[in-house]
Amino acid sequence: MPEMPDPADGQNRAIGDDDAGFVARCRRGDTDAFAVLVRRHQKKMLNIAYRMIGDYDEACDVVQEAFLSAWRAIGKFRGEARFSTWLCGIVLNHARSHMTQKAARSRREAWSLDDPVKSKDGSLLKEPSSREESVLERLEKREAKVQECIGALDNEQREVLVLRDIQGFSYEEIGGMLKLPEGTVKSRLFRARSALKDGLLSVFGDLK
Amino acid sequence: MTCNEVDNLLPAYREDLLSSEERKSIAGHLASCSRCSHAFADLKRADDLVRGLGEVEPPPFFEQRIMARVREEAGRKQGILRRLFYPPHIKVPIQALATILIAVLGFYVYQQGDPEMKQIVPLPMPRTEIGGDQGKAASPQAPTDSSAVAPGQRSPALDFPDVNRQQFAAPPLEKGGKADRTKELPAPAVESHPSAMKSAAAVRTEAVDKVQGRAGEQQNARGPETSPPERKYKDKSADSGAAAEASKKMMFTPAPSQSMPAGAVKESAIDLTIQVRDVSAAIGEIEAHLRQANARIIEKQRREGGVLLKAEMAAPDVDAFLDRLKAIGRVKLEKNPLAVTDGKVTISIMIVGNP
Repeated sequence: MPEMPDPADGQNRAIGDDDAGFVARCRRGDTDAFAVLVRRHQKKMLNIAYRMIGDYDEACDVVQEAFLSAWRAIGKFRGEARFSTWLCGIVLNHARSHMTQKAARSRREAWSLDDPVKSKDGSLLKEPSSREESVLERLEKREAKVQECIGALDNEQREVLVLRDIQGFSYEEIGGMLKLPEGTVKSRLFRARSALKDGLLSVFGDLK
Repeated sequence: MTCNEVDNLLPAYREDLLSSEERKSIAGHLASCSRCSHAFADLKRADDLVRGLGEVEPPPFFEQRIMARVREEAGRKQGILRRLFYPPHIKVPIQALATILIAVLGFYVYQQGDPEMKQIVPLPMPRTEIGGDQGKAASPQAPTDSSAVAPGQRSPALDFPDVNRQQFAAPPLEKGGKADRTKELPAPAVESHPSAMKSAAAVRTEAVDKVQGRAGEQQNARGPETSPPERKYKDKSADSGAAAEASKKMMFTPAPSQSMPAGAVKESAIDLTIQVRDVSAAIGEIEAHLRQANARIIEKQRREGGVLLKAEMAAPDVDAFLDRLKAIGRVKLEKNPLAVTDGKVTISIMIVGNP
């Protein structure tokens, strides 16, 4: 069971939050209020989980579990950070835990033919295009490769990259979620960007 | 600034997080170095690729799926409380009433069970030097029930026949006890239960009659009406006078009481220890000899270091019996009253193994 992030660690000041009223109703056991929160945040949480895990179905499962954990722990949420930030921390914890389990499972099982092929230095190898592709197919393939490159980053770098460059959280919010100082978040993000650039170059050859 | 240093600072440069000096320095380097400017362009394109990633949509009924599980969880939590206390205005008073009722019932049962417990729990053994008849018959707490004998001191092999057990279940007298502790004993429970006292007194009287061989009418007439046993004992002690005092000096010697009717059979006591190789075998042999001498075994008890066998036999048979005992083991007479030629003799035989 992934641990619940403590919102107080991230921000010690009260934050204006549109979700506060619904959160208060949830604390009294109002499931309809929680349904509103699920409706509001499900897409963002699913995208974070998907970019972290790289598998859509698994991301759905993780988000479902994360919402259930949030419901169980809503009494502990003190409203010192945004509800979305707190929820995002729960999703990240579940995603991390899922990836750890998956890595342990894949170590036991034989490697799959579908896995991205890596060269000796660990970089992903280029795939030769076999036939003429439509623009949409090319775009999908491109996105899949970018996702593969994101997946090739180590967990810490991937987290900050997804939260900052894909989800647009502030450094302060990311620091709160990951319990890290802002400076550490920034340096980790810059390393992640450099590593991603190298990964993309090795996959695409040229980023023009 | 070298290309490597510039390469490391490019992400921060892109975020505009560097000082103006560093910014100027990097800008100058990028203008002159095509490799670094190319790397900077790649970084920007990589960022654009990541930021340009499309968003995935949740699957259909994703919210419903999540909420179904949340509601199930919420229902389970409420369900336990609801089952226990809902509706509160009906269930809570009933539960409170039931709790009180159980508590009262428990207290009542405890109160009812208490006297029984007092009867069942073995009473402390009186330690006295008084002769056999007083020790057995006048010991006030002598329980009439066989269950009153401490179970730890008995073994199935040493059990008496039921009749004997009922009549002689009085706690055994301890050798060497100096003080008469009968008075220290707590008042018997039968005091508060006249019917129980009556029956106990009746059985006790019967035991006295059997031992002393006198008619039971007199004792039966006294028994139920007498005050608590300790008072009876006091009376008896006072009545017995100097003769009783003399008798105390001799263990197991019956106290000739003034109240004893004339012509009552005299009774004496012999206390001996026999050392044998095999205690259990010796018990069998001694019992056989006792039967042969028409003796009546009145007590058999496992003691520390051996077994105590108490029997009653006619005085003329004692000498022959003692001779037979000498054949079994080494006999040591602890107490031997003056030669008794008539009446009955109580013999306490302590059978011990050879050290």
